[in-house]
Amino acid sequence: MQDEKITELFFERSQEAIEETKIKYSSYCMKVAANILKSRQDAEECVNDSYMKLWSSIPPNRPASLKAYLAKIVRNLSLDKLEKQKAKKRGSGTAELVFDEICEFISTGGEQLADEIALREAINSFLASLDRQTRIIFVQRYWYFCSVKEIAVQLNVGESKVKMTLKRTRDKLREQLEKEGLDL
Amino acid sequence: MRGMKTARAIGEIDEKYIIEAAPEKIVQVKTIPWKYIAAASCIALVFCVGFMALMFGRSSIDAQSEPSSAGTQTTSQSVTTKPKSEIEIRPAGQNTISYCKEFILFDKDLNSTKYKNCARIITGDEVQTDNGQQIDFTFAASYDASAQHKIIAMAYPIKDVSTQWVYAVQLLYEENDNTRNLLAEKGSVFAVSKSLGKKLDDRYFLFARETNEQCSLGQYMNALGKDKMYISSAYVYQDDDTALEYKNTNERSAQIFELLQADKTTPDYRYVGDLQALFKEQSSKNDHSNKQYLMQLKINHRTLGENCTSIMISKDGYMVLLHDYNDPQVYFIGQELKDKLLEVTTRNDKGVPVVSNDEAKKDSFEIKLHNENEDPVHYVLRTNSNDYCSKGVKIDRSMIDTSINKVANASINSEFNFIKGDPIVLNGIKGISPNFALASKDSNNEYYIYFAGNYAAPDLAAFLKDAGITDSKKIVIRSAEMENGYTDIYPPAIWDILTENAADNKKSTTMGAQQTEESYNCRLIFDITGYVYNCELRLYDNENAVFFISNQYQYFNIGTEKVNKIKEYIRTCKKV
Repeated sequence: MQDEKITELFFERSQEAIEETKIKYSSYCMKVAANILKSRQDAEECVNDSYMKLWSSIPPNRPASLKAYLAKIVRNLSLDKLEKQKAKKRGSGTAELVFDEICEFISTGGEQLADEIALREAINSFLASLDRQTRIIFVQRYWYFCSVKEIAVQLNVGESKVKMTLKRTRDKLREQLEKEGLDL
Repeated sequence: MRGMKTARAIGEIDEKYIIEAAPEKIVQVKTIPWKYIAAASCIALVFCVGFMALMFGRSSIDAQSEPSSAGTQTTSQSVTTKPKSEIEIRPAGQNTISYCKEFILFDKDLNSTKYKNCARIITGDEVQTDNGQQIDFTFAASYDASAQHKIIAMAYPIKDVSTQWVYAVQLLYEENDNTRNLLAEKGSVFAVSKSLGKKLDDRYFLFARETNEQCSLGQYMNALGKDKMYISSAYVYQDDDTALEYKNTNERSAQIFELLQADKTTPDYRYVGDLQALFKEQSSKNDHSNKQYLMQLKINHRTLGENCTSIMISKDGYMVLLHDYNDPQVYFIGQELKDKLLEVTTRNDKGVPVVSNDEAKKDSFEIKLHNENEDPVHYVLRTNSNDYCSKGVKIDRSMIDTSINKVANASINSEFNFIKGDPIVLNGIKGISPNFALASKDSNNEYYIYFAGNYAAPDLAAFLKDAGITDSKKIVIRSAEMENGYTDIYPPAIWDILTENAADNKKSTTMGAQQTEESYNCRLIFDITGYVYNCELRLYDNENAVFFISNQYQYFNIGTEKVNKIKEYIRTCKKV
């Protein structure tokens, strides 16, 4: 079913909307959640919560892309869960590594996170400047939390190339953020 | 936790990048199961020790009881190997995450037909199951150790839609086993079907055969079931390559289809070949940059889905049918019919020209500014879809030129909290042309850069002037992506080559395949000091250059000589 039709079903408050969303996107959502949480049970919980959140947010929202909108919800809920787990000292492999890498493109100067809107704009503008493959590598790593190996397989490139690209892109982003005066 | 906060900020990136990078392949990262290896080793060790103890113990007993053995006897054990089936269906496990992308059905003789999944579920009443007309290659055989071949899928015609291209396929699962994933293999082709979490035997999926059919236009329209079709929108291309969208064309669908059926009586109205043979510049079916096109009609089919067909009509009287389920086909329809179709599309029943959709919504999206002579000048704020122009970096107050003061008298953009009708003030940016960028205050009194929408410079000199980059001192070239990469590039050297007779380097509109992101062979990343970062100059082999400044692509034909000169200079710079 087309996304627009699913969205219409949400607006009509039809239960079928959730069913159709599950049919179309459950694997994708599981992938997003499982990359962050690494526990299938936790990921399933998060994905189910996401459907509920989707139900309560459409309407009033009418997302331009249902897929991306849902993925954002799943990702945010997964990060929430991860944060709670971390408070209970339950680590989670790849996500930890990704956080460490993210800290690399944050300068150590300030403790206060910069204005989120400015940061978002800066990252978007940075992404627009990248070539397509570099951008996909960056987004798969830091948005989808994919492992280096997964990215390499997805793009048919070597793991070393992925690592090198990530390193260069992080450096480039840090440089740009500093240049734009985004004290993080 | 700053990593987490930044991770959340990254979470808000533009949705198009999220979609673009969505993982598609099934990736099963194999890890070495050390703990199982260790456990297995321990068990093996215990068995070895036990076996040795038994053997040695037995030997001593045998030695004691039978000191002289008469001989040895070996027992041959017959080994039965199960013949490997050509087709195997087995559970794919929990890690299977891909939804069906293709499906292969086999007939009883194991001849296969490949289908593309159209990712749609259709309802039972659209499927013709009641008169036993299911197709004879509808048996997908499965094999497993305990059962004979089973039917796992059946295909049926879809009511009133051609069986040449599309079928409804019903996936059948064993009772009480409707959650398992199946992986069917034959040779190198495979099909993956994922559990959908519910019993499937009452669901039909739309599949398209991967064979291509050629037919006359009349057959084509009939095969699609023209009663189920309507035109959702129409685009008419203008001389400047933009397209005006005409909505509500569905009201005139019947009239248009009637015209298209004319081939039954008109001999000139004929099939002339495939798309590639006639429209060589077309790189993909969504690439409408080819100037030969005059208009496009998008057709929805109530069963097959939205926009399943597009009809493209060229200025010289050719018509291309682009179909989700079949290869594009080209017909010659002649100038007269082309003109009739154009007229029907762009005028209402009373012959009055229809206002295009873009015209109708203009005021909602544009800010109208007025210059000193009160002439309206249009600028466009970025819309959510990012189609128009972009908000650049936040800029320093000292860069604002308040002597250039323009008032927007109408605007709407919830993203930046402007209210329709409220005036906003746009100031110039020092040293930068107001034709290209203006600074606007937001509610926090901070300035941001906005670009003029739909700006198109006639030549390179005008572009550089309007972008405010005539002076190479403003340029910082950060790197060149060519061969292995170059750095420490001296900006004036590049700019001297580029700006020489720049007025002769006209805007280019026929970029063809160059519009792909990857087809350039040299890319310079540069900043305009205090203005905007990460601009780009891309060089292509076919004499063209592209400037990219925050969503503003501008194409110029700068000629092979300049392209080569720039590359030559870059090669003298420091390699990365």
